[in-house]
Amino acid sequence: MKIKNIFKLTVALILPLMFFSCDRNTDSLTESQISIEPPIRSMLDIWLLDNFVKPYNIDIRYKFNESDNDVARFLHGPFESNVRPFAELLQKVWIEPYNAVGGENFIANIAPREFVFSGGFNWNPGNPTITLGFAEAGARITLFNLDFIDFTILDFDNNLISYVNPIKTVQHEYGHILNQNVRVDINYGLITKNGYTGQWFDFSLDVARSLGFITRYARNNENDDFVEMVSEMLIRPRADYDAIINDIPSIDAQALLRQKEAMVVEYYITNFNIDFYALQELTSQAVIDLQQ
Amino acid sequence: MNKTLKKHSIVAFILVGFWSCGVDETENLFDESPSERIENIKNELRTLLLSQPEGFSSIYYPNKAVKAGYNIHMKFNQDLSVEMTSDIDAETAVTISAYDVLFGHTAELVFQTNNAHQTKLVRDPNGGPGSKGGSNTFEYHSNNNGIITLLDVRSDGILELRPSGFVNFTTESVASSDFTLVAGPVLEGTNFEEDSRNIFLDGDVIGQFSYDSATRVATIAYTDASGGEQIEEVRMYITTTGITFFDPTSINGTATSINGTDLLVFTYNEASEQYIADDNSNLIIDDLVLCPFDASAINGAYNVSEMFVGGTNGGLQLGSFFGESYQVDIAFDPADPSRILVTNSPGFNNFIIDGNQSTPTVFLLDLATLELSYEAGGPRIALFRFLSGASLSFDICSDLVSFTSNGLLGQFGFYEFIFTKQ
Repeated sequence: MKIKNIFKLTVALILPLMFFSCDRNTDSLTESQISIEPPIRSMLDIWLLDNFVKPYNIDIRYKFNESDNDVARFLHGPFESNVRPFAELLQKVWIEPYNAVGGENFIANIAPREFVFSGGFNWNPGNPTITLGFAEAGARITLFNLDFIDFTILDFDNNLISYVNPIKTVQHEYGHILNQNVRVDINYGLITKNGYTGQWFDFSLDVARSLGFITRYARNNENDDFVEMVSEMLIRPRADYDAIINDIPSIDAQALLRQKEAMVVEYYITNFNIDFYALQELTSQAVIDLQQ
Repeated sequence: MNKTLKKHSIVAFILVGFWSCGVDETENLFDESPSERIENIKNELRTLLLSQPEGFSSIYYPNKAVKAGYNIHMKFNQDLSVEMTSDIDAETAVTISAYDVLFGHTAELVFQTNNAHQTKLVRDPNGGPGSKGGSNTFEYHSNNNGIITLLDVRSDGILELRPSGFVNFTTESVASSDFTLVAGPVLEGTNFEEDSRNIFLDGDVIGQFSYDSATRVATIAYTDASGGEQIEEVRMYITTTGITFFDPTSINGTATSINGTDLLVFTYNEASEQYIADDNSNLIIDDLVLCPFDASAINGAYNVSEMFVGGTNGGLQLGSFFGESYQVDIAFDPADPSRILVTNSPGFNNFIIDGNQSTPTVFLLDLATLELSYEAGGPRIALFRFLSGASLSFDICSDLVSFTSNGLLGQFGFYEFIFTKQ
């Protein structure tokens, strides 16, 4: 027998042996270690499951978990009694209006998959401001201050305990979520490109509006500028919004804001087939109806 | 060469083949899977928390650097609810909130929703005065004869749970919180915190002891053998029967670690009005000097000291900013001794008007607890902004009576004013 054939025969005999020897460990795969025990659910948890998880695949996380928050911030969960009112607020001012105008599955299709409710103020280190909420990667919106909100106070200005604040935050953050799905026309950021500043809080509202920004925070960057326009329009009736614009002394500033408004309206109708003014009518009425 | 190469290749091939099989042979270091071991660690803490049907009396020190501790009574339930009351402030009603035992580095007790007690201590130290920088998450550290120690890694806080010994948690915990707030029935009728007591050992004075209820800090002072004045702040908490030192310490050479225990417990003796060490009946805290409540000392003119005390406006005085000067007059309402009337002194700028923007501003005095509050809510300061969430207290034991209030002044940050009698 030639050496070449001996080699082939040897390999052919040994290979099955090797596979056989490896095969003896296949029994080491055991049962899954993942616990499938259902969690203990309160009545509130069941209500949230039925009203948010099942219809919209949105989880309302209200129980404090260190990993949900920046460990350097001193935050805590809200009172349980405050959770359902805020969940219902989301239904009334956000889910129902968007679904009514954008289609019954609009929120189910484009929504953050988690809301995190936080009870206390989120102070920003180094400056006299607090964070009202934020959106993360199109997947999560966090709302702060829930334990301090008063549903009898309908105040659109700087009243920290007005219930308009979380509504504005939701509309603001959901604007970001939409923008993370469909980008805003880059020309939007060129309308008042020289007015953006990270030190926006050092300037008054009058200054911001004189430069063509709807709020002080809109000066932070073009993304916040866009969603500040969205949220400021959605929390109040169109007539009230028009009055704000028309009261700005600078005609140029009025024109800049009207230009931004037009781009917002165009963005909604082009990308989501949503009549923004129809949406505004529903959301602003919901804000009024929520007052206790 | 060709043959040799082939032989070597076959040998190497076989060796590699067997070696690769060999690495799949695992050794079980533990009898249980990782998830089972994690669950066991969590269950250990869960079982401990549920082991006391009438709950725990705990002491919580939110911050290692601060000596102030708080009594919190808590009862853990199977449905992941926790009943809680405390002596943190006057709101002592039992609340029900959510807790859970989670796993981080080890088993953790997490207070998951606002419980209106421990949660009050979870405030940003940079967010305003009175903030304690506490936490919601506590790592399980140890169980020493039923005393459960949990640690807050972020703030170096410590939460120590002791079996409450209550027969009925709901009623007894509230009663306990009520009296610990005012230093307890064992101290009833006294103003324990303001003045020092002597500490006696075998009849000799070995030091002085004082406790400030505002800061919750106890202080021990003594003259050591070399004549040096020693002053030490110590962690101490008030119990249903007296006071307990939390950490081992020494009082002029007398160690608080006695008979093998690190805690020095003083029980109040009602007949002698003394605090007597449980482990040494000759170690006594005595000689309380009372601070009488003298209403007549309150009436008069007061200087106004005011400024922002946090954020970027910290240190800013409205008087300087507006170019104004302030002084107020304070007097009891002749028709109602529970109302203290505050008016802006003639010739000075308007510093304070009440929440309804009228004057005088009325401080309501609870004659039982000597606590103060604003009759018409947070006042308006310097005709500028309202002081929201404002606290109000007074010091009637110092040589000069003073009133202190702080709160959030509009969106400009936390602000404090002090009226000091001239």
